[in-house]
Amino acid sequence: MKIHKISQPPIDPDSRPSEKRGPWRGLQLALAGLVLLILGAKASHTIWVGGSNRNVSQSELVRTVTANEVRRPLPGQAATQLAPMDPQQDSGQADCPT
Amino acid sequence: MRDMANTTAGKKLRTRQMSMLRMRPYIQAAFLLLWAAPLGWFSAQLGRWGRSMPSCVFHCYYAGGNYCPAASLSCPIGITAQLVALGALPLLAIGAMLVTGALVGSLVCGWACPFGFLQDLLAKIPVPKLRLPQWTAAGRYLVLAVLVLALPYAFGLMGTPYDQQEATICRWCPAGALEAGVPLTIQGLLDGRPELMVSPKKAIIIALFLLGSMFIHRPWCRMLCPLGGLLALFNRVSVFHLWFKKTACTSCNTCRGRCSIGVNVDQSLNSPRCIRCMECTTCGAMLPGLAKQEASETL
Repeated sequence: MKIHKISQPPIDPDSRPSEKRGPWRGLQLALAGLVLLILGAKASHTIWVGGSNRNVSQSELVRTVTANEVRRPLPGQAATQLAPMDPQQDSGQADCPT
Repeated sequence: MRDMANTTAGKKLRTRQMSMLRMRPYIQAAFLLLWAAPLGWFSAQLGRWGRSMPSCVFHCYYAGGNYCPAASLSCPIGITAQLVALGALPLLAIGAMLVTGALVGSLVCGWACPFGFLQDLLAKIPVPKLRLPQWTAAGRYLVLAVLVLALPYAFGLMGTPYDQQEATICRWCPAGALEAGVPLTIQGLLDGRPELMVSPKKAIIIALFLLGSMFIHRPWCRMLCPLGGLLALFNRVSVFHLWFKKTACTSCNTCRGRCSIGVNVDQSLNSPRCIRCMECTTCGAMLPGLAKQEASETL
């Protein structure tokens, strides 16, 4: 890449802050993100999939929304547990949302 | 003090920075194979686990039987919009973005994102480049607020499933059009189903994106990418950061000249508009955070 010198006022290195900082705030936020990942793995949701309301974990939900038609749960219908190895999950009937 | 730039240590540092930057296209290509493995090879290896996890870069996702064959993991933005449409809080996607942002900020944009890599390649075409005003960066947050959060939630609440909504990020995303539409069309041809999997609307979006990327550096990243906008918000607090070493600065303005995004690196290295390509570090006065301080710097 060719270097293009731009005619602008020169940088004054003495007055410019270094922006150097410690890692602690970033690490605290990363820890918060890890906590959210753990909570997300444990979270449970009720959705409509495969013709009925089902209870799924969020990781299963992430997989299911990309594989099947998923809807908000139908009111008044009890939800059953969707087993992780349920073959209905790979029905592949969903229309690609792109 | 300014003579530090011309010392052996200063020259060694510049050489090291240049070597690292020369590796950047190869590192981006390596990540491209990870996120969007040809013919879904990686997605086959990752299996069910891969489909359950949002990644930290912008690319289309694996969609079951009617899948986007090039995706190994799930797009965090697409997953967020999908779950918001269902009224669910996308903790996994938010957690993935928070961990990534807090550790490296927008470094993934400059070094790992497949879509960014494609734009970098297109920008190498030798045509005049247009400058963008700084306010266009706000478009990323508009896309996030409207197409990722508000509209999917509102239409989901009214009973319209996400895959039937028109005003969502996935329906307008050029990454989806390129990474899903084109491979699906090719796969259809290989399977004996000559069917164009790209709608006229998506074809126009692809054409605009390809053209725009030739004349503007990283137009999607700078104006519209909601993921990049989110990750860049962490630039001022992330563990990885850029800092200014005044003993190495000779006021040559190389840093400003090399920035293709138009960040005022003389004022703020860790700007929310920065994609952390680290081209500005060529001169040796801008350094990655946690870089080892040379002993001569204490003089």
